[in-house]
Amino acid sequence: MSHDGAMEREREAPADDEPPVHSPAEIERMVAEGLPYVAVMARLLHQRLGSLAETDDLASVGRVALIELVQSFDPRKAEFIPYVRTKLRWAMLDSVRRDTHGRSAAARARSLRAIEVVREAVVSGPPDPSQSEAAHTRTLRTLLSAQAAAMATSFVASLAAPPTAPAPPVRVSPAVTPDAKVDIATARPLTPEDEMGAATARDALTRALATLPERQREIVERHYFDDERFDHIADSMGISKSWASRLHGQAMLALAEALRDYR
Amino acid sequence: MTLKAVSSAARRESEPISLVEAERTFLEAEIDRALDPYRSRLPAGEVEWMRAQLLADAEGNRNVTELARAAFPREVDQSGEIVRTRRR
Repeated sequence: MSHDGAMEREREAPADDEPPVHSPAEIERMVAEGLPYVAVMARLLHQRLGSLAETDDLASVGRVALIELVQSFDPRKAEFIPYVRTKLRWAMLDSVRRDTHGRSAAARARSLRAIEVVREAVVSGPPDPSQSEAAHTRTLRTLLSAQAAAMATSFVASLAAPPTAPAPPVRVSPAVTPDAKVDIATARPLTPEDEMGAATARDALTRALATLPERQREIVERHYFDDERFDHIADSMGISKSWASRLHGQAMLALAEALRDYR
Repeated sequence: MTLKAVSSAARRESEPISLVEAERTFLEAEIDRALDPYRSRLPAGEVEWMRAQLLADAEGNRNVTELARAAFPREVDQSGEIVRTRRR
């Protein structure tokens, strides 16, 4: 091996923080490898979102996303298949959230993304075998409570903005002003009983939000009521995405506590 | 964490494991417990959808299924012998 050759390769190798440049043949190979997952993810998400997001629509979004995500794929940082599965799911959920399929589907997509974000913040690895059964139970309950609070928050935000909080004020987004209220599980109008229950939940959520520390409240309001993505919120707050996820997880736990106690 | 470790963790997470029936029942009971505060406030259909999503999310992630398995209560008789063990 010539010294010059090694120097040349060194110059060609991307720095750790630079995205790699793939050849057209590599891109073609990765797209072919990822395509089956487009169909699988579209079908799975359709099963979870119901008629609010059709398989064909999701697959179309997935095919476009696949081409973009293989170009930014960095084999030094991730394995291809787990990367493709996660990114395709997120791309499809984001597309639904962008309201192309209506507000109901957007709320569901936001719910599914939110429970993933909560999971990543609470359970980042396998359980520690040195911990007791009781400790594992506490962690499991923490996770499920926070995930449930995230889904409930998403649902309530989809119905209407919370009423004016006692103090401090909660931002009201025009995107969530009340109009046709529907049960997003069935896409049917809410019954009077549902409306009453939702009003109670909205009231509980408003009061719970008002008790959150400022940064946690800001993340919840911007994500659930203003429909901003976590990475955008983190950027504008000058914090890392993982720290934003952690604050979001803490906020969901606090909301779960407050909602459990609210009567 | 090294890049290799990140890769390995991602692969591991994407390979879910199956819970035995008793473990799944336990997980479902814990999900129901988490959803209890919402049953009287949100439409029943919405709560059922939330339940299905929480179960799907848990069963689709190996870290969570292992956590559920680790939390699954073992039965211990008076001699201290474990009667029902968690499957490894």
